Amino acid sequence: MNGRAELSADQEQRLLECHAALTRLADECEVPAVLTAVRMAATELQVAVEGQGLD
Amino acid sequence: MASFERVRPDELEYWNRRAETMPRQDLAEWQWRKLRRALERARKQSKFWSERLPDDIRSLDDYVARVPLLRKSEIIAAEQEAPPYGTLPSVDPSLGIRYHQTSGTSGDLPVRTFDTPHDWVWGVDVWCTVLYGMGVRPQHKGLVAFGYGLFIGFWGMHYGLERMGCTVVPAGGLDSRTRVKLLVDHQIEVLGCTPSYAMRLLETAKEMGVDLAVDGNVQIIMAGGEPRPESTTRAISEGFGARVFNAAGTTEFGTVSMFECPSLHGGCHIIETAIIEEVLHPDTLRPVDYGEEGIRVTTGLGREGIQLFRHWTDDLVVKRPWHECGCGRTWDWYDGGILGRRDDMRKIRGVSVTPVMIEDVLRGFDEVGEYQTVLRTVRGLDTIVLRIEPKADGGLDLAALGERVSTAVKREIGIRPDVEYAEPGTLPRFEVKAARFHDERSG
Ligand SMILES: [Zn+2]
Repeated sequence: MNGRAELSADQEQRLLECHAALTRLADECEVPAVLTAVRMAATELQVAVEGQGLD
Repeated sequence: MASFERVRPDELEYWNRRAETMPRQDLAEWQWRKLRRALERARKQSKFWSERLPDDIRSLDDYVARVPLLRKSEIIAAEQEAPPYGTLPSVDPSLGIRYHQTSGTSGDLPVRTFDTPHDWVWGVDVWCTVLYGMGVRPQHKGLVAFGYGLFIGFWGMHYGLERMGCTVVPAGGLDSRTRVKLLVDHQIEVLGCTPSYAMRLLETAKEMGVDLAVDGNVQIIMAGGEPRPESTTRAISEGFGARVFNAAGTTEFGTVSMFECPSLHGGCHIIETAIIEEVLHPDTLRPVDYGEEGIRVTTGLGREGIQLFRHWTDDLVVKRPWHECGCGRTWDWYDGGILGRRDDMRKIRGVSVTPVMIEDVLRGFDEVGEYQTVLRTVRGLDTIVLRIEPKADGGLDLAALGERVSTAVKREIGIRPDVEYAEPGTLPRFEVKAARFHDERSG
């Protein structure tokens, strides 16, 4: 953790891809344990995406 | 008034550097982008907002000019249409994962809110911005001393500490002695509570023979939730040997919205990526300039479930420009944080008096433990009656103490109060919300 760091362009791209992948999985998956975990993870990443002004 | 400390550029650290240091022009564009999306959502999905928001708002200025102010009574009325949330929500409330409500003081019904998973993660992330900015780091241990009930209070701090990787001690439902013991036994570095409760902990520690500045390890105190005078901040800081930070939020907004950074003594940055804050003259409702007192009006940019547009908070504030703080954040700030609530202000014989003004004088008297401010009509005149609880040291000359208190209040505020005495330990203690005036006046 480094409070002086900023996200690189490559990291931005990967963050968006991860978010998109999780959202797709959440749309398809029906296993309660997995669906819940994936939805929460997608929500966390969405907030990170918004926090970087990428939404 | 705030004072400043310049921080060396290589020491500046942020939870989210991009959001906290973006140029003002970019920030204005960011706010407008978020606001436009929030307006769209509200118009489409909330009955209350669809009837209230124009559909063709073109800019931030246009928004401010055309969207009416939202009063607390309107929120309550909208919720009453179909309790608990009425016509307000922009999503199906069954998607909520948390419920909170205000305390419903002064005879009002409470304001009720819920958070979706997104709202809660967002709100906790905002808390992380605040905590990280105050110097909290993952290796720290935190203790949150509040009631963990319906009131949102420090819930977000608890989850923020947890999210960041700190070890959190949830000290709800414990008495003050147990909390003091936890602080010492675990050598807790971070404490969250109201300023009045921090004073209470110091008092309890003293009774236990514990000197928290020596025996404890608290370094950062997040003392929010109520306006406080500088003298109280100083007393807490000295008692714990810790830096005391201010912050504030509302149930309506859903999380914390302003905080004191390490280089800003006595001020609070507005978290401008999460909220738009206007400051308006209480009577003309026109914006006031930097440096002038007014009422803060807030627009939330993050919550999706219960949205907030131009909410009249009734909080008195004085805004200052961002560049006057040396921390590198490009967020404007409020000098002294929230100075008081307009509805807590009372006119006594032509003088405007707030609870914080009284507290500022009383905290200067070590012999005074607790006190209560009563407004009473005495022989047809509005009178301030201070009910004072002397500390149980014995041998105090009460009459002399009363005279000194009375003279000090007259000197600082301009009104000479009557002084009464209460037995030690009999006056009410407050865990949340500053003690307000106890108004016994007729009419
Ligand atoms: Zn600052």
